[in-house]
Amino acid sequence: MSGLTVTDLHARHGHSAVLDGLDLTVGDGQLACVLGPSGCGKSTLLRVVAGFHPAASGTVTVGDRVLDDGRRRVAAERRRVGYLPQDGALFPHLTVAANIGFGLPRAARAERAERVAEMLDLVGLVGLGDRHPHQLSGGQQQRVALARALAPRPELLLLDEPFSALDAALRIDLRVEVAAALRQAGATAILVTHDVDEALAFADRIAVMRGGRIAQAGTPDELFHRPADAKVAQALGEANLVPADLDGRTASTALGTLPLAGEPAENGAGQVLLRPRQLRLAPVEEPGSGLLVQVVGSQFRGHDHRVELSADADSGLPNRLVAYTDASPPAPGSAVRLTATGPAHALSGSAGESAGAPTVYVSASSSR
Amino acid sequence: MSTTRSTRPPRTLVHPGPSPLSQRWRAGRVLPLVAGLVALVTACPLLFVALEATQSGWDSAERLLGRPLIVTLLWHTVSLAAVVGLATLVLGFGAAWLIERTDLPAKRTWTVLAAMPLAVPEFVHGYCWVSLFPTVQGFWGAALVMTSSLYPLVFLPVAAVLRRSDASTEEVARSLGHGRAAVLWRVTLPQARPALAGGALLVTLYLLGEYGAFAMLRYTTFATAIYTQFETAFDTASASLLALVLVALALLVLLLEGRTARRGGRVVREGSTARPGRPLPLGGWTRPALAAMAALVGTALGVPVYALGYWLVRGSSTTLPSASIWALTATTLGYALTAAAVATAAAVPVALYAWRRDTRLARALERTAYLTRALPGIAVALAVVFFAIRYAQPLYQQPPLLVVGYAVLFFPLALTAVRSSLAQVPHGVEDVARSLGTAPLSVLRRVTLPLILPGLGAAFAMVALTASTELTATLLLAPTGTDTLATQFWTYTTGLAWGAAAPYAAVMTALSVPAVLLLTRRTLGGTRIPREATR
Repeated sequence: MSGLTVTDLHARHGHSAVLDGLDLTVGDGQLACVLGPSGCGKSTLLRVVAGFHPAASGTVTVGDRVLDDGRRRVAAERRRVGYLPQDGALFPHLTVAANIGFGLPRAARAERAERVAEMLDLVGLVGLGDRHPHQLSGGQQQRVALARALAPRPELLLLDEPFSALDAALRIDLRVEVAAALRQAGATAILVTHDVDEALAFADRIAVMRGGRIAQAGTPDELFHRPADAKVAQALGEANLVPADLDGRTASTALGTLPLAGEPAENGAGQVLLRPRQLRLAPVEEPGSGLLVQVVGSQFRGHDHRVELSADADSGLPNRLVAYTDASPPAPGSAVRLTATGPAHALSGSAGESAGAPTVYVSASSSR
Repeated sequence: MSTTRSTRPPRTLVHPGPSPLSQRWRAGRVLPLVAGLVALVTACPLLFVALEATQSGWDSAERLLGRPLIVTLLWHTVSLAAVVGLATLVLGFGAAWLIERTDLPAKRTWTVLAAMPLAVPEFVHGYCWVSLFPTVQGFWGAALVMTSSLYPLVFLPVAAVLRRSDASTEEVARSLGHGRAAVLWRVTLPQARPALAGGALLVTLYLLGEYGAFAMLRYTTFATAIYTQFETAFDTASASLLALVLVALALLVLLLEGRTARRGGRVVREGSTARPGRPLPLGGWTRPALAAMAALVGTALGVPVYALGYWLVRGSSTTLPSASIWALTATTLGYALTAAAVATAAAVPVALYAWRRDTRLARALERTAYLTRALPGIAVALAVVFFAIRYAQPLYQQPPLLVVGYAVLFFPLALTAVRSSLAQVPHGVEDVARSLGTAPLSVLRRVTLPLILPGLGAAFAMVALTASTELTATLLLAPTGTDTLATQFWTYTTGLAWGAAAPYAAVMTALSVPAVLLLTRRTLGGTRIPREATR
C-alpha cells in the first residue's frame, strides 16, 4: 500500500470547472475523509483518482506511480485503485463469492477461493458466499462490496458515501465495522461524505472541501477545535462565532477574557470560535460574572440539552448562540447568566464576518 | 494528510504494467464510432427517398403534386387517421381504465384478450373481415378494420401509466371535493396524456405505412398508391415523390405528438413507490362494463379467430400441399431470425453509448435511430430498393437485401428493448469492474452483456416475430422466386383463394402471439416482484 498525492488538480464537466486546483495528500495506511456539501466536487475527485473521469491538468500519484498528469493517464483497470460506490453496485448476476472473486486472477483457482474465504471472514459474512446480491440486506450488500474492493489488495480504496443509502442505526454500526476492517487490512482509503459524524467517526484525517478545492485538512481534533475559518468551523459542527479583541494570547469578548488556543494570533479585532460545549449557563441569582442572555428554546436530546440563546443587540454577540448543557435549562423566555470556558480559537478573517459572508479560501498549506 | 501546493511534479512516469499510460481512452473511441455508423445506416432511408425524389426533376414533381390524386390521397389518409385515431383513443383508454381502475372481474384475462388483436397482422385482419363480409370495404370498412386491429397500441401504454401512477393524486382530488367524473376528466386523463399521445402516434404511423389491409379493403392511401406506381407502373420517381410526401406527413405527426406529450404532466411518483388505489366499485355497472369489453374483444379478436377457423375448416377440402407451408415457415423464420440477430447486434452499441454517456451527441444518435420508427414501412423498403438498384446492383433481389430491410425497419424495436434492459443495470457496475482490474472488453463480456441478456433476448424475439409477419417490405425486397408466409398468403388472397390463404394467416398469427405476450408483459411490468421488494 502506498499513499496518494494529488497536486493542483483541475477537472471539468463539459465547460464548468468542478475541481479547481485541488491539493491533497493521504499517507500510507491512513483512513482519510473528504468532507463537503453536495455539489462541491468530492465525487468527481474520487472519479478522477479512480480513472473514470479525466483530469484537465494537475497530477494524481499513488506511491511513485503517476496515474494521471492531465495529458496521459493509466486506464482504470491498471490503477490498482479500488472503488466502492454509494449503492455498492454489486454484480446482480453473480453470487457473493463470485462478486468478491471478480477482481482476482482467474487462473489461480485455489488461491482465489482462499482469498474469497478470507474476505468473507473479514466482513463477517462467512457462509453467505452462495447467495445472490438480492438475497442480502442493504448492510450485507455494502459489506460484500467492501470485500470485493479489498480482495485484489488495491493500493488505495475509494469509498463514495457508501453508508448514505442505509438507515441510521445500521449506518453507525457499519462505519465502525468498515473502519475496523480497513485498519485490519492495512488499507489506505479515502471516504467521501457530507455527514460530519461519519467523517469524525471514520477518519484519521479529514479534508474539508468546497468549491472544487480543499479548504483545510488535518486530524479531526485539529479541524474541530482549530478550524482555519468560519466555514470550516461550521462544517465540523455547530459553532458560535464571537467577535473578539485579540491580544496575542488572549481574546476579550462579551463573555469575558479567554485564553487563546494554539499559536499566538495577530493582534486586533477578530473572531473566535466557541463550541456549544464551551458555553455554561448559570441561574441569574447565582453570584458571579457572566452575561445575561435569554433562553429562546431548548431540545432534549437524550444525552444532553441543546439550548438556543439570544443576547442583547448591543452586547456585540451574534443574535443566536447555541449551548449544550447536561442540566435541564430554564423555560423559554427566562434569563440566564452565560459564561464561556476553556481556550478560544481565533479564526482568520475580519471581525464580524458572519456565516453568510462570502467564502474566504484559505491557502491549504496554512493549516499545518 | 497534508495539502501541499508546492509539491514538484514527479520527473518520471513510472508504469505499472506492460502497457504504459493509455493514450486517452483508446477503447472509449470505438463505441461512439460504431454507434454513429449504425445511426447513419438507419438514417439512410430518409436520405435515399429524398435523393430519388429529386431525380424526377421539378417539372414532373410539379405535375405529380399538382394532380387531384394527391388531394384525394391526402383526404383519404387524413380523414381515416382522424376517425381511427379518435376511435382507438376512446376504446384504448376506456378498456385501460376499466381494467386498471375499477373492480372489473377477471382483469388478467381481459388484459391479455384486449392486447391480443395485435397478434393478427393488419392485412390478416383485413382478410378476415373481407372474406366473411364482402361489404366491408371503402372508408368505413377501413376505419372498422384498422380501429379493431390498432386500438391495443393505445390500450397498452395507457394501462401501463395507470398501473404505475400513484393513486394518491386521484384520492387528493376526491378529498378536494371533485366527483368521480371530474377526477377522471381532470386528473386521470391528463396523467395518461403522454401515453395517449404516444399511442395515437403509433396508430397514425401504422396507418400511414400500411399497404396490405388497404389494398384488400379497396381503399386508396399513399401506401397503396406508392406500391401501384412502383410495382405496376415502374415509375420510381413518382413513387419516391409520394413516399417523400408520406414521410413529411409522418414527421409532422411526430412533431405534433411531441408537443402534446410535453404539455401533459409527468407522473411524479412511479414504480415501487407508487401505491395502487382501491379499485372503483362498478356495482350495477359491472354487467354493462363486461358487455362492453366482450363486444370490443369479440369484434377485434373474435371475428378474426372465427374467420380463420371457418376458412381452415372450409379450406381443408381444397388441396393444399401441407409440406409447402412448413418449408415457407422455415424460409420466413430464416430471414426473420437473421434480421433479428443483425438488428439486435446493431442496437447494442447505440444503446450502450447512450446509456454510458448522457451527452448531446449520444442523445442525438439515439434520436436519429428512433427516427426510422416514424418512417412508414413502405418508404423504408423503397429506400432500400433504390439503394440496391443504384449502388449495389448485385444485391438487388438477393437475400441479404431483405435482411437489411428488416433490420433497418425493426431496428427501433430492438433498440427500445436493449435500452430498457440497460436501464435496469445498477449504476456503477462497469466502473467497479474496471477498478477491479478488468479491461473494457472483458467488462462487457463478464458484466454488462450477462446483465442485459434478457433484453437482448426480448429484442431478438420482438424483431424476429414482427419480421416474420411483414408483408409490404417483403413484397418489394424478397428475392425472385422466394416466398415467405406473408407473400404466399398475399398471392392466394389476391386470387380470392380465401381457404388456401387461411393456413398461412393462422401460422403468422400463431407466430405473433408470443410477441404480443412479451410486449404486454414488458409494457405492464408483468408479475415479477421488483428486486427492491425482496431486500
